[in-house]
Formats: sequence, C-alpha cells, structure tokens
Amino acid sequence: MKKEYLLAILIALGVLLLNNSPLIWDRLTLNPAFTFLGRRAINSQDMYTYLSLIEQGKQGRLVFADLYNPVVQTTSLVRPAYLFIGKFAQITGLSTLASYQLFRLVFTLLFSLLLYQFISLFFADARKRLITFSVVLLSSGLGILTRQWSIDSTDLWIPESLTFLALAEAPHFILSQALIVGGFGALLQAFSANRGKYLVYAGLFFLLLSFEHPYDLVVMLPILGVTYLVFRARLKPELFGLLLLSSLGVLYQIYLVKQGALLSFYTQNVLASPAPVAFFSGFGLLLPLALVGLEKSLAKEAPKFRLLVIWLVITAVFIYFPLPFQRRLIEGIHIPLAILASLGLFALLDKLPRKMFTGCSLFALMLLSITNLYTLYQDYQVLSRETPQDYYYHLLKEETAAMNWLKENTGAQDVILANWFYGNLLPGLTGRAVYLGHKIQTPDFTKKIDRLNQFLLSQDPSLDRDFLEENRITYVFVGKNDAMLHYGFQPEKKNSLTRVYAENGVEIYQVKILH
Amino acid sequence: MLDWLKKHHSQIFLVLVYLLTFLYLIYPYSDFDWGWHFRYGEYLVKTGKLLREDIFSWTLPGFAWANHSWLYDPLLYLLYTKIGFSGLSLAGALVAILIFFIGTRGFGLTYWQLGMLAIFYVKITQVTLEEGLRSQSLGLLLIVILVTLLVQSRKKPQVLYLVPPLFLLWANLHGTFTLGLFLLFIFLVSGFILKFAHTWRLAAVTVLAIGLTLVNPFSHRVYIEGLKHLFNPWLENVMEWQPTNFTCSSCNLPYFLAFLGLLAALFLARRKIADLPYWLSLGFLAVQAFLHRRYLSMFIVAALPIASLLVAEAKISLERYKVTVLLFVVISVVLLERGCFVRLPTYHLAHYTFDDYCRFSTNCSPKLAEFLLANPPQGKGFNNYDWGGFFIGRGIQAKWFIDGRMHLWQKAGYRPFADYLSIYYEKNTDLFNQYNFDWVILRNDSPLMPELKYNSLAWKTVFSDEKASYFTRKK
Repeated sequence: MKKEYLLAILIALGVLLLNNSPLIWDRLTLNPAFTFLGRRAINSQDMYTYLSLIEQGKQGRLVFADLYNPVVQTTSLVRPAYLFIGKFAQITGLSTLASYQLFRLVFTLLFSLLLYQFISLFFADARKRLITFSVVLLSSGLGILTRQWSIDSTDLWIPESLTFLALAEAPHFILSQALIVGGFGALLQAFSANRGKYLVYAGLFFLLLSFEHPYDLVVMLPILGVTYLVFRARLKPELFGLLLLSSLGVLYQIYLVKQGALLSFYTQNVLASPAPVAFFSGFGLLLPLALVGLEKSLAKEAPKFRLLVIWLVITAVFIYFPLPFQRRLIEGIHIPLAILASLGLFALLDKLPRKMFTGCSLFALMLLSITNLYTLYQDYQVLSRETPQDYYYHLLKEETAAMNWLKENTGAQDVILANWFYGNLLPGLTGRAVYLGHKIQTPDFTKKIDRLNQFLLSQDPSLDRDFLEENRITYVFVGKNDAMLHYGFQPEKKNSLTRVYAENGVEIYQVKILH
Repeated sequence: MLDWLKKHHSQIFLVLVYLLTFLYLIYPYSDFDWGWHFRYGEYLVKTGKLLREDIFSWTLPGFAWANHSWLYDPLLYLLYTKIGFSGLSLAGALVAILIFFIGTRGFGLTYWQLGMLAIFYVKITQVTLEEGLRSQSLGLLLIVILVTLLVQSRKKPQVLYLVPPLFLLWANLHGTFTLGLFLLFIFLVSGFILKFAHTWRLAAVTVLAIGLTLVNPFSHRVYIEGLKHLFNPWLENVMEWQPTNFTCSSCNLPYFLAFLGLLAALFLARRKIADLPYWLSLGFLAVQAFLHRRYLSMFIVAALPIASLLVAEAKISLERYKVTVLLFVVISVVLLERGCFVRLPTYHLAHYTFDDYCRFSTNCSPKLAEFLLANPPQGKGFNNYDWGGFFIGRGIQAKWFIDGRMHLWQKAGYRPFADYLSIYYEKNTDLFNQYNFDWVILRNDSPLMPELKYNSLAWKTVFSDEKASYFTRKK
C-alpha cells in the first residue's frame, strides 16, 4: 500500500479514536451501578430518538413511527440509514446501542474515504493532501477563548458547523457529511470533465441525503445550479435528472408535512442561527487562512476551487435565510472552509524548506484543534461527575431491567407515561411510544408537561381517566428517585393504576381502563 | 449594466454600508426616562413655560432642578405625539446614522474601511443607543460635529467659527457640552504647546463658546449640575454609570478593546506629534469609558473623525484583492438577511405598544399602569426608581417616591435616592417603617416583596400580575 494511503488511514483511525475517547473511557470505567448509554454533552437529548428508529427496524418495521408523538401515529417515516442499521441489528442480534455505535464508526470511515478522495481533486501533492485531510477532520475555532465573553461560539455546541463535532454525532449525521462530500466530489468530476455518469452518482448521493437530512438540499440545490453556470457544463438533461432525483426526499418531506405527520415537528423545531460573532468565533483562525485561500482560488488557474467558493458563499447566504431550521443549513460548511484555509496556509508556507513547511503546518493544525480538545474535556467532565444519586448520561441497572420488562411485556400499541428523562430513553430502549420524551418531537411539549403535572397531583379519578384515555396511555414507569415522586405523585393511590412490576425501587403501573 | 456596476461598485458599496448601519441602529424604543421627558415637554408646549420646580414627587416637591436637556423635551413630546414609540425608534436610528455619516464623510474612506468602522460604531454605541432616541443621542451628535470641526480646522480654519453657535445649542440640549468644552480645551492647550497655526483663533472661539453656554434658562447652574455628575459616588448605583466589563453584554467590551488596539496601531504607525490632541482626548475618553459605560458611546463618537483620518491616511488598499469584494458582498447579504428577518421582526415596530416598551425597557407592568390610571394611589408611597418615569409618562395622578431624574437630588441633607437604595436593596425595614408609607409598588422579584406579601395584617394586595404588585396599608 502506498505510504500516503497508510498515513491517511492512520489519521482517520486516530481521529476516530480521539473523537470517541470519552465514550471508550466511560465504558471502561463504568460504575457497576450504571448501564452505559453512550450519550455525550452535545445533543444528548436527541440520541435516543435515533435509537428508537433502529429499535423499530430491529423489531421488524420498514417505515417508522415517531414514538415521541403517541397520538398521531403515522408509521410512515422513511429513514434508509436507520432501517439498514435496524435490519443489521435484527440479523446479527447485536444490541441497538452497539449497532448505533458500530455504524457511527463505519460511517466515519466511509466519510474519511470520500473526504480524502474529494481533497485529492484539489491537491496534487500527497503531503498537502494529508495536511488538508487533518485540518478538515480536526480544526475548530476560538470557542475555548471566547466562551468567557458570553459568545455562543458555534464550535462549542453546533455539530453541523464542525466536522469533528459532526463525527461525534449520530450515524445519519456522519452519513450526511459523507453524502455531501461524495455528491460534490461527483459533481466536480462531472462538470470539470463534462461527464454525465458522474451526475448520476451525485444524484444518488443527494437522493439519499434528501431522506437523511432533507434540510441540506435547501442549500445543496442552489450550489448545484450556480456550479453548473460557473463551469458552463453541457449536461442539461443529466442535470435535470439529478435535480429530480435529489428532490424526491424533499417532496416526500413536504408530503409528510401536508399529511400533518411532521407539521408539529417543523413548527416546534425552531433552530435559529446565533449572532454572526458566534460564527466568527466558531471558525476562528480558519477564517483568515481561508481568506488567503479564497484569494488564491479566485485566480484563473484554479477553477476547481470555485466549487468550494460557491459552496461557502451560498451556505453563508443561507445562514439567516427566513426558515425555522436555518441553523441546520450550515451543515458541511466546515469542509470547504477548512480546505480553503489549508490552501491559504500552504500559500503562506510554500517558500519554506520541506521540513519547516511540515513542522509549521502541524503547529498550525495544533492551534486550530484546541477547542475540540476542550469539547472532549467537557465530555469527560460531565460523564465523570455522575453518581447513582445524580445522573443523566447513565441509567441505573435496575431501571434498565424494568425497561427490559416493558419491552418484553408490552406491545407496539402501548403508550408509556414517564418523566421527561425516562421518556426520552424509553423509545430507544424498548421501541414503545411515550407520552412525552423530546422537546421537539413531542408535540406541545410544554403543555404536556403541565397536563402531566396536573395528573400527578390530581385526586379526581374521572380527570385521571380522561387524561389517560385521551393520550392512550397504558403503562406508567416510575424510576428510582423519580422526579415525579418528588413532585408528589402517589401512583399507589390512583384508582386507575395497577402495579405490575416492582423491583429494587423501580415500579411499573398498568392503566386499568383500556381503550 | 455589468460594466456600470463594476465601474461604480465602490460607491454602491459605500451606500450599502450606510444603509446596513442604519438598519442595525434601529432599536426598540426603551428609554427609561421617556415618561418624565414627555411630561416636561408637554408642559412647555402647552403652557409655554419651563417646568423649573418638581411637581411629580412627594419626597422633594418644588425642588429646583437645572434640567440641562430642557430643549430636548418638547422635541420628544412632539415626536411621540405625532409618530409614537416606533417613530422614536426610527428617529434614534436617524440621529445615530447622521452621527456616523458626519464622523466618516469627507475622509475618502473606501467601502471596507467604512464597513470596519461601522461595525465598531454599532457595537460600541449599543449600550447608549439601544434605547432609541434619547437626549444623549443629541449630545453625541454635537460631540461628533465638534470633533469633526476640530479635525477639519487644520486644513480649513474658518470652520472654527461654527463652534460658538454649536455650544449655544449644546448647552440647551444636553449636559455633555461640558465634555465638549474639555475637548476644546485639550485641542487649545495642544495647539499652544505644538505651536499650531490658528491657535489664537481657537482660543477666541473657545472663550466665545464658553460665554454662549451661559445663554440658557438655568445660566451657570447647568455647570453645577454637570460638576455634580463628575464627582458623585451615588452614580455607581445607576446602571449606565457603572464600569465597562464583561458582565455588561451590551457594552461589547471585545469590540471596544479591538478598536483601541486598532487606534493604537494606527497612531504608532504614524508617530506624529501633531496627533497629540487626538491621543489626549481619546485617551481621556477611553479611560472614562472603562470607568463608566455611558462614556463608551462618547468615546467612539469622538473617535470616528479621528479614526477615519488615520485609517484613510494609513493607505492599506485591501480593495485590490478579489476576495475583499467577495467578502464584502457576502457579509452585506448575510447582515441584510439577519437585520430584516431576525432583528427587526422581534421589535414589533409596526405595532409597538406599552407592553413592548415595558418588555424592552424596565420590565414595567402596563396592566398596573392601567389599574393606577383608574385607581390613583392616595397619600405617600414607595415605588421603583426605574418605574417612576413610566408612571409619570402614563399620566397617573399621583406623587411618586422617586424617578429617573432624582439620583442626585438632595435638600437639607435629605436624599430620597439614598433612602431608596437602603430600603430597596438593603431591606432597611427600620427606615421603611419610619416613612409609614400608605402604598407600595414593587417588582415581583424585589427583595422587599416577601415583607409585604406575607404581612397580611399590615398590607393589602390591591393589584398583582406577573411583573408587579401594588399594596396599600390596612387602616
């Protein structure tokens, strides 16, 4: 094997290891009282929504339901990646969580492969390719410095804004990064060489992307159009085919919204972009370097770099576009930015001797990566702080046992009532729907919390019955030291509930009045 | 068309910078002192007389106060009655953009230089200008005119003749005219030290300006009022007189530090002794800005013409790079989007109500004001310092304990503001009981709240909502 590819593989594996080190450390040093959940500080609330899809796939479904929305059961969500992972888990018997983590690793390697291919389109020198590869995988902004100035630096909390953070996310996040890079790589090949078959490949990448992360198409399609115009490609029929193919997932999403299945999700899913200064801080030193790279790439002899310029410019323009999910639209922006920053870095260092060049590049890489080390440190901090009395990133073993009981003794039609913490985990661990469990995927989340609080303290059986029937609740899960008990909930005094499970302080109640 | 755009892109970009700056200078109107300014203006317009003695408080009735911004009050009254709160927001933005325009025009700045200064200007003035049109806004306008005249006078000394009429207006509009005189003094002393041409002309102009500042309804007492603000420890209890630090989000300290760094670099690169008055005046204002956040705006406004001169003369031509144009266009589009789709819609400018005013200003309670209009408090009561002005502005027929005018008022050793601080923040119940109040109006998060809320033997809750509570003493 060529030394270059060996080094690239080592870099990818090294990043993979570094990125996942908090989870590996957590698994290895796990308190015996805990079950490992695999959650991290950023987006911890979302992880088990994805596990719920894998669990459904594992239990035999081909299209999925939103298990955090028990009233409107659509059972019509198409998520190819999670279907694939679910089926893999079903066939191999691997646990949902293990399958989730395994595919995070697989998709990271796939992304690394496609990324390296993509970078190879821009740099002929193997050394520059490897450095650029590392910059994309590892670079961050100045969040570590600016966090004390009340700046919401994007490199500390928006995974879409940074490759390293995205690689710490759910499988479909990583896959969508891979699909973006693959799609643009194919697109560049197609337009720069006027070869239609690459447009078919690009179309397939974007088609999958439209199901995994439909938001991205809002930005990708304009990029596609402008790139076509800039390269003056003669591939009109193929291009229209690609557009049509890419749009299928988006059309499907529109269909779901029209059906009402995702309306509340989109209404609640308001992801506003932070102030510009948060982005400046979040990209930090990459920005001045990218400016140098941009100036270089605008020179006539570097037409391929124009795709990166177009990608960067159009994504930037969409950052504050009046869409509720505007923050999502920055996904992938870090890739062209980091490549252009690498180009800028090389322009500054090109006249240095070979060893100095490599040394300075590595030093720059180290500077660019510091904030990522800080986010890893944050993960270590939150994970190591957990105790059996106060925990969020883990679950007590007796609670896991009770959830397993639920999984084995309930059916797909059952709806479980639990406090927000357990409600968030139950769909992923059991494949059952919950009354509430996710601030966005559970419609009217705040109102539901109020309704739940009323129910917990209510002493009126008819009101209890109405509440349980209206929400099709069939079981109530009460964890050890449950917040609902602290609030004043006395399940044993509710006429409508029968205790069906009680082990080590964890209880499960069945609702007497069934529908 | 494309050729025309290419040929004129610099001018188009300059206009774009001013438009974007204007967009980002629009803030929801939230001047804490709106109410009493409004009533002072109303009194003047309706009676033709100046309100010289206090008629709104029961603590210092008849107190003779030199209202140094008396000329601003009828302006505010007329603007508010004609165009409402939204109009005051836009008027504030218009004055602010006029300040920026005056401070930067005529120096031959390129679009990126102007854009860079605009970012600093918007950010560093935020702490003052984020309340919409204020009397300080007019003070800032006069500061920028003065410094621009002083900078330009090196090439056109005849512009100095505009200084005396400027001070005549200034002494009637805002107390910052004393700062203006101080800046004039710095330029004068520097002129004598460095033997600048036309220094004697500046001296004559300064003397005339000082004389004209006495032409105001309160004559020399406006100076005494200004001096009180210079050396008064009580001011540290007023938000805008507190130091600039990282806990103040609207102070934008990183921008202030970056701007200071830029100025320092530009001064060092020039190393001209002729810049002495610029160093001294900006140095003084920068120190003041660190000590008191209200000086941040005065600093940047005074710095605008000087920074424009330094930046223009630095001859850094980034515009020759293609990326500069690209970056400028992208940033402009992004800022335009953010301004139009994110900032402005949250301000409700099309239907700005008292609810919005209270939300953006002191978190006062419009519902309580409505209640008090129908049921005015009787007797002597206690109220929040920040809310006094709002109640006065709403025309509630009552006398108040304190409002935003009164932080430095004292008579025969009695200072209501000191008692207010002691009662409100230090929970001095002895002092509270000594007053034997008939009524009390509090924010719900006030430290005093439990004292009244749970003392149902002495106090009756007459009104309460999510923001405020109104208690009357049980007879």
